[in-house]
Amino acid sequence: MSRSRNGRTGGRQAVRTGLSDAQFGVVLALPAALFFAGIVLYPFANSLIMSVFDRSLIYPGTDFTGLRNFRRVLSDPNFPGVARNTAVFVSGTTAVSFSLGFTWALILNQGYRGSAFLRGLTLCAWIIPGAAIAFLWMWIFHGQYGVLNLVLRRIGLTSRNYTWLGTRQFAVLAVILARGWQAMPWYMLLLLGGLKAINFDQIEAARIDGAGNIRVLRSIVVPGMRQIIGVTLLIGIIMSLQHFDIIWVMTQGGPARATTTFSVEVYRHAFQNYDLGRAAAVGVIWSAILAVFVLLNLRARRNGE
Amino acid sequence: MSSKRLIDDGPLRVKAVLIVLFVLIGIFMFFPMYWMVLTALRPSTEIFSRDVGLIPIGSTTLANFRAVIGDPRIARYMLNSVFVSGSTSVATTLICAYAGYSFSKYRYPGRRPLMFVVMTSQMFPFAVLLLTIYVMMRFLGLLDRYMALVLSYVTFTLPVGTWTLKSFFDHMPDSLIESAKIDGASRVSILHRIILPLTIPGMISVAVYGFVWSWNDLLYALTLITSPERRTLAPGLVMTYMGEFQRHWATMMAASVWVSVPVTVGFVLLQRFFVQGLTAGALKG
Amino acid sequence: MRYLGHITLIVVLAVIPASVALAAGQAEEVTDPMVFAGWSGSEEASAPVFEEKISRWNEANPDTPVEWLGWPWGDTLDQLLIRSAGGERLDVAQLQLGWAEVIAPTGRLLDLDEVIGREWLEENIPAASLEAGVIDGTQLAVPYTSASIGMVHNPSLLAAAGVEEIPETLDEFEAALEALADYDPDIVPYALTTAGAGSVAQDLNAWFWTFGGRMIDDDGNVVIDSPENEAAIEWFVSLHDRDLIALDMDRFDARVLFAEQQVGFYDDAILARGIAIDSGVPEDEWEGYIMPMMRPTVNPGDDPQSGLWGHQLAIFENTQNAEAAGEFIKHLIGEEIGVYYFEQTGLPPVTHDAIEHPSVTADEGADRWLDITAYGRNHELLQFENVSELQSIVTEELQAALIGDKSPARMLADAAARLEDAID
Repeated sequence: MSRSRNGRTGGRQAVRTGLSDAQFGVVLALPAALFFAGIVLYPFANSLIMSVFDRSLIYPGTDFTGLRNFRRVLSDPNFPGVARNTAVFVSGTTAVSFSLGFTWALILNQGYRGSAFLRGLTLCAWIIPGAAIAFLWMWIFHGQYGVLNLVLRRIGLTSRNYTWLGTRQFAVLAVILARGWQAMPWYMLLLLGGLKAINFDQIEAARIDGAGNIRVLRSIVVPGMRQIIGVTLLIGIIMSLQHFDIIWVMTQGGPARATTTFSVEVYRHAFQNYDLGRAAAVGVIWSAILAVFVLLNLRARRNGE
Repeated sequence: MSSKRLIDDGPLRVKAVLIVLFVLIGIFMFFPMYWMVLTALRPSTEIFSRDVGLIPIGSTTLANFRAVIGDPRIARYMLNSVFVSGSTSVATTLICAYAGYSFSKYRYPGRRPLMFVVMTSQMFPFAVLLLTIYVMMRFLGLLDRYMALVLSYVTFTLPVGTWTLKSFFDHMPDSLIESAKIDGASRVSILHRIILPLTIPGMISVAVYGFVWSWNDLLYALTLITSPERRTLAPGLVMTYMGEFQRHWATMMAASVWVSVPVTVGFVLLQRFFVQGLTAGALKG
Repeated sequence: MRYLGHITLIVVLAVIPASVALAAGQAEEVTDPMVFAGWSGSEEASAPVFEEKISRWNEANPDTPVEWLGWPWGDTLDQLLIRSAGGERLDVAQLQLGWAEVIAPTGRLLDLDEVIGREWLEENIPAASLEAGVIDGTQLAVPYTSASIGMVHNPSLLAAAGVEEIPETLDEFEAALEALADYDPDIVPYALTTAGAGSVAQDLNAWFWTFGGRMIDDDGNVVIDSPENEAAIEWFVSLHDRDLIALDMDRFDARVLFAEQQVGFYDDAILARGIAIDSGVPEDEWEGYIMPMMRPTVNPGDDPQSGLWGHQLAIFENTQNAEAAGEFIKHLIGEEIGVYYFEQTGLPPVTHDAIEHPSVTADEGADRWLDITAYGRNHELLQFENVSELQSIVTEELQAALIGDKSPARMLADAAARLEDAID
């Protein structure tokens, strides 16, 4: 195996010559694996261990309690509510960001004048710190001085101020909109990337055959973007699931627990109750549910290929 | 004549639908930003007043912006954030590219379990991981060092990054690599000279993702960094403007607008490169 | 079997960083400055005051300089726990009343009788506020500022609505609220806190006392589901049904709305005036816009209720110089800095010399607050280390009753069950 033709990389090559392809693959994945082992796997394992102990951030002792933490979590009458809230929040934010992000990407992809500027401006929403975004939306939904009330009153839809964040449905809607607003630019960016990669010849060919916009979208654009749509949705779902700060700042999980999702619940157990064991148990249950979801997703993907 | 655009906007009906959608999404997207700027332009004693207008008439002031721009702490937080997010972004892109390439194009025992672990482990609540990470960073002497943040952020952005890039590599025909091999190129130079340049759009997405992830993080930045002069932006803003007794809405909005400016400019500049990368990738791939 | 091999590989990978971590764990930092941690020194309004406090100390004590370490208010307790558990340097900390109970079980707070000296403490600090820092018989914290959360009203707004007298009973109070609502349907007559768990639970507790009920009795039993409390909740629900109170109202919003003359009454501590002035109330005529008052009572002549509120100081065992840390506490609460702090922020001092200082006694508003504080009682959930969890429970249940999810009786029964479960 002579590779000395390329002089500049010669020095580094010498080290690699002995590696088989498989070994080379392992070496490439090694940095990522090491990061994982150190920053996620070890703390994860530690948390797994914590979940079977009565560990607290304030009491020094650790008593082995077996599955008691899991039993407590699963028998908590609030648990089904938290699962439902999480499902609503995750599907709601994903639906909002995806549908709007996709439509927005389609419009900006048309290449009208000013598209590039709007694309850049859209990304602004994504780099404002989460706490500030939460503030902004609290401010918009404010019960007395919110601009939403102001507009609704100006156009005569209501005559009284409405305390949006004080009611169940609207509080849920408000956090979904705020989070959807924050995440939408990311969806737009990825989907725009997917749109740019679509082979235009196919579209032209279809148009010559008399295909309309809907058919072009359905039979060329969406199938061509299957991969990127899948990745985007998966990432989006995970990000929403982990999401914490906007909900916490806007509603603290209220009113009456209406916006308490898994991540809020974990934070509460860990940092309000200082019950690390129980927080870890919620975490393990959450990961187990997700692992099933991911596994199904991977299988579907493999079968689809 | 059919349009050169993805959606044929020739018919009037299509045009109308596009305009309606554009206006609706535009309002959803930009009105909050507009309102943010407008709030920042109001005197902080007047933002709670019953007869606010939707347009900036009357008492507007630059005082909030002046206070924020003149505050050396905010500048410091911003520089720190740029440094941390920049480092995270570069490191995570490289590591993800290698890992994604490895997962996509090489076969070795342990690959599938590793991929699975990479995917699932990031779903464990970060708040719980933090407690172990804090103790670990302390042992390593990394507490209050940017390294602690960068290590954590790189790891948390790895799954999404690796997955994104892996799907890019999956789309790349093996024949590309094979023909380069026949030309006598080494694996290292195939990767760096042929594969990675074709993946630039994907790499930029990952870089941007890593950048924004670390830019927005509050919990880890708050816990792992303890000196005031090393604070990053998110904890810095929350700490300064969300007090025990008062919330400085107007200044907070001004600060948020102000700190978004440089990053947005960066995005807009990068975007040209990004779009070129995308088009190039589409043509060659 | 092959998979077993991979799992072993992953486990080995996980162990490497851990052992590297152990090997790298070396002791460093010997002559670093003392760390004074809390939140107020990082907030926009009080940061300069804290810089001044610290720099005056550092000028006088160049050998034992102090450095500020701040977090957002809502995160400070968590960060203190994490930092002290991690063994990082931490000398003196600013605490909210009630936090010492949370930190005490960790055993990481020093006995201040030993560090500062029993004699000095008893000589300089009034017994009642000193007592608040005693946990299980040990002086783990000393007061930093001490006051109460009472009620304030807006005299000019009340006058405009035709309310001449400050209401003293619930009936008069309700009549005043109705008058305000009639005067302007857009204002919130009484900005009862209904959001933000800490404030909601604290204010609710004072209203329960007013109706003769409690949350927790002297033996630590949950007694929230009493007929008295049910009457209180029913009253709240009726206020809400008539739009006399508002949902999603936290103390922050109540303050700005009050300053904007959009609120007739709300609950707050002494610093309310400073914030009102900061939010637009004219400084030279504040008397017309914000006045403290006694909480209305059910029957004329009952004790008006208020909850004690304040900040404390404590020393962590993570200190490397307990003696200097003790001196620093004396510096912070002593006459000079105590009076300076009061002048700058309106927070009342705690040592005799500072309390009796002319610039404190001459303040008329502060004087009225002292009357209110005389009736001050401890918020009953503060004695538990999972106080935030308990406060969240009470808040969630109150919200459920107000939005009509549950009847007051059902809500109190649920709250009692959840509190009992959480207190074990």
